[in-house]
Amino acid sequence: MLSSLSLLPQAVVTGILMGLIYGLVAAGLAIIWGVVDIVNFAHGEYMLIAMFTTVLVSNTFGVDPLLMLPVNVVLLFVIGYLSYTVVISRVINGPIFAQVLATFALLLILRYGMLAAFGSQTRTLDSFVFDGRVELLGVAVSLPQLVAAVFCVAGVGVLYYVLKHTKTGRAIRATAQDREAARVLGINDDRIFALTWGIGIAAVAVAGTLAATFYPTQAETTPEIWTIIAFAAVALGGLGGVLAAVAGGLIIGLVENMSVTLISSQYRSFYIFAVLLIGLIYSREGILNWVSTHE
Amino acid sequence: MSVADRYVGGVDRFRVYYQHLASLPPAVQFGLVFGPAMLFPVLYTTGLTSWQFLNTMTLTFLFIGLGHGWNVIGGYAGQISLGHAVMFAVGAYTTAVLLVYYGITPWIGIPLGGVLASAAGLILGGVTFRLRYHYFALATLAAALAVESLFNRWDFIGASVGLQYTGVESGLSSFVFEPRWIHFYAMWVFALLVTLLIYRLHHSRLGIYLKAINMDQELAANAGLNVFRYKMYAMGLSSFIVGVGGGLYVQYVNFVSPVETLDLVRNVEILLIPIIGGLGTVFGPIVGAFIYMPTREYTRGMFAGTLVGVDWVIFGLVLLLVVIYAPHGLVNRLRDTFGNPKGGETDE
Amino acid sequence: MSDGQTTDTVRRTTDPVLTVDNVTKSFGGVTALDGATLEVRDGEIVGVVGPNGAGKSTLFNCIMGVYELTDGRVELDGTDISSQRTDVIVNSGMSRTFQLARVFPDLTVRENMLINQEHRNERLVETLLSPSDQEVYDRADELLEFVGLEKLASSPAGELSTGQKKLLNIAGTLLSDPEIVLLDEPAAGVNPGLVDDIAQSILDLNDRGATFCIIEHDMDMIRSLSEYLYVLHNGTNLEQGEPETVLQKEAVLEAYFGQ
Repeated sequence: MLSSLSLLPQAVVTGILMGLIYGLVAAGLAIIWGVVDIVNFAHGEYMLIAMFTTVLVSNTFGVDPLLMLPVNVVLLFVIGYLSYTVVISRVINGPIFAQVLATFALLLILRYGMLAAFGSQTRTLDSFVFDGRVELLGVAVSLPQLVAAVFCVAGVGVLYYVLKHTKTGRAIRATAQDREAARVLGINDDRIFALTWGIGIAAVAVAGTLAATFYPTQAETTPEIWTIIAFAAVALGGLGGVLAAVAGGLIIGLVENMSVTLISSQYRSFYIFAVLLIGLIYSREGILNWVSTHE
Repeated sequence: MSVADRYVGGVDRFRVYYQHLASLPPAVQFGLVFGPAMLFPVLYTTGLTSWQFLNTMTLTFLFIGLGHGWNVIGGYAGQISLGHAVMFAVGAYTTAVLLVYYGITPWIGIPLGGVLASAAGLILGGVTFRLRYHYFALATLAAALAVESLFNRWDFIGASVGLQYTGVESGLSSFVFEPRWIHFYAMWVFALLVTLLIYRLHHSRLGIYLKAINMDQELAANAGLNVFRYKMYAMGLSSFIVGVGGGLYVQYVNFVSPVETLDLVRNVEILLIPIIGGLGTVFGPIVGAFIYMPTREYTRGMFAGTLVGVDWVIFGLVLLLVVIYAPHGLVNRLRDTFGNPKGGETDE
Repeated sequence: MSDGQTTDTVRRTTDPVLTVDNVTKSFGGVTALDGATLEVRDGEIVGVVGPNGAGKSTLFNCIMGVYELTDGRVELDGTDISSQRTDVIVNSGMSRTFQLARVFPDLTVRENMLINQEHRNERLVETLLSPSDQEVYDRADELLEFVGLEKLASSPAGELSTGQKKLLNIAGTLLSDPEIVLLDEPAAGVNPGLVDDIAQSILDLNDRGATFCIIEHDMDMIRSLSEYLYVLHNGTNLEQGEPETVLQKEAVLEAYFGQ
């Protein structure tokens, strides 16, 4: 017990870094959820696309993963945009289970499409400019994790700026608040929803590209855990916006890494599921509040 | 009467067939599904069909029962549970643990598995029924994945490796039948009994109450219905059916593991069947199972080996087509298209 | 609050069925009801009027347990039912209709009726294994006939007109033989031809012993129906008494038409 306590600072630092990455993934989910009112069960699968392109292109052609960042952002923006226009827009006014199952169908198609295409083996990145560890306040910090966290914070910043200070962002927020009113104001809500999907998925591209530098990429297990993490973060933070999702992500990162250190690393995913359940059921500011005002 | 009046073709011919079928008494309709099926094992033993066919049909009838089970909570009460694999697993593990570790016959183990599954469902429902829509779906999914990660580490039940039926002798009391085609009849009986129960439910007070809760929860409370209590009732019933199905399944495959019973995909399979067929209908899960199971088994066979996963991609595409073009299921779609008697479109 | 006693010339002799005592309800900082008080006695038709935003619908929601009370007390037949669950209150003998008619659209008209049957002593197993009693069926059909919907009994309720839905709602509330029925604007959104039908149904049902408390905007309707009237304004009682007298009061006119 004493020895695990001495590991706590390490867990806290790792928790914060991972939490920031979780935060960006969750922010992408929260935007889609809050604006389009769709829970994207395939969220982790979109992230998996970015992870696969990063690992495969880097390992095959020796391209540095960071160079894949702009490529992935554009690629996933387009994929997100198309997902909305081709699939989601057709179920958005349908029954609720049709919406749940539509994103679930996307999950199956994306996940198993990648499994068939790239195989079931676990892939890791061969080399990265920022490999290794640095000593920070007496704690060893994984450099790729640190870099990923920095980029994710930047990603959150961009996302925040776009939503708050651009014309598109204002239109998105107006649509989220009142779809009918936005339509009266001449906003094309269908286009806004598609843009929101594009932006939300592009956010995941940033996280995915950087996560691939240190996180194992496997078609079946990787997306599942990231989806659940994003759900848990949003459930905790509520749909208050980008920053709330990041706060949720930080809590998950900390809870996960601290319980792994203090209790046991065997049940890593279980802690996250537990946080999600508790978050869903008890978070008054988060989900329940939103549900009651939404009905 | 002109020739054109007498000619009934294309869509109209389907309409006539459909209305013919729909107007038959329920007993005859069930008979048409379950009667000929009784001969499937005979077809196999006489060499007219392959084992793959009989295996697929065995699973189809199991999934008719499972689909009905999910339909109670998802279709009638309108609560989209993504966690029913837990109940399936509880039924399967209970039966397997009792038989393999303690030698207790599945004739006790299977119903007991149903009861424990029911208890698990009630706990899950008690915790999650205050949530609605996406949130309920999400919470039940999280619960299922949490249970999977626990089962994966739980040594007593074999952790991620699971339990094998090594050393279990076949026979009536061990419910492991040799030859294996006998299991088809176990599933057949299960499917038939559950279908009759659901038929009963569909026309009972409870059926109406659940449909009402599905449509407007507040209005249902205003009619004096204790919404939570009826949701719990539906959950208990639904979980019991799925739990018994889990027990029958493990007796058939003689093996149980977390991946086999609790995987994300298993959670969804159970609900795909009534959704494809038609939520809140008696024939929905039957139609759904007959479409889903053969598709799954034969595409899996086709793409085994190098192209693992393509079967699921195909399935994802089918699912997309269903939710986009028949979001209320095929049975409802057929009824809406062919059910109204505008038949010959006469201009008189 | 004005002196309610002076206009109280109606003799109210029967026992009180519903007593609303000083009910207050605030949402965050906004007080929607501020000490509202009313009493409905057995066999009466009591009206509740007031300008928009007076808190009438909030009052019904508070009585029926949709909202938790901030303060005050609601009694049904002398039993405290404040902030109970809606279905508990319904099963204790009080039902209500909504301002916007609500039905279960995919259920038939008859099923919409049957769902309102007594649930008090219903066993769960029974609800699965046995259909409704014949008596309940007969009573449902009788009520449907009473409101003129018997020919539509097997049609989906979603196909009814707004007025027919309101009639179905009223008929539905009566199936379990409640002590009292709260009607929230039974004439609103109904085509004029049906308004008289609805009013007549209410009067006929009252003759057969049903007790009503009605929120209504249609002043002619409230005059012809109610024998006792409460005027709410800004969440509190403004006036009460015989409709004709109360509606002449200066305070009431002022509340409705401003200065």
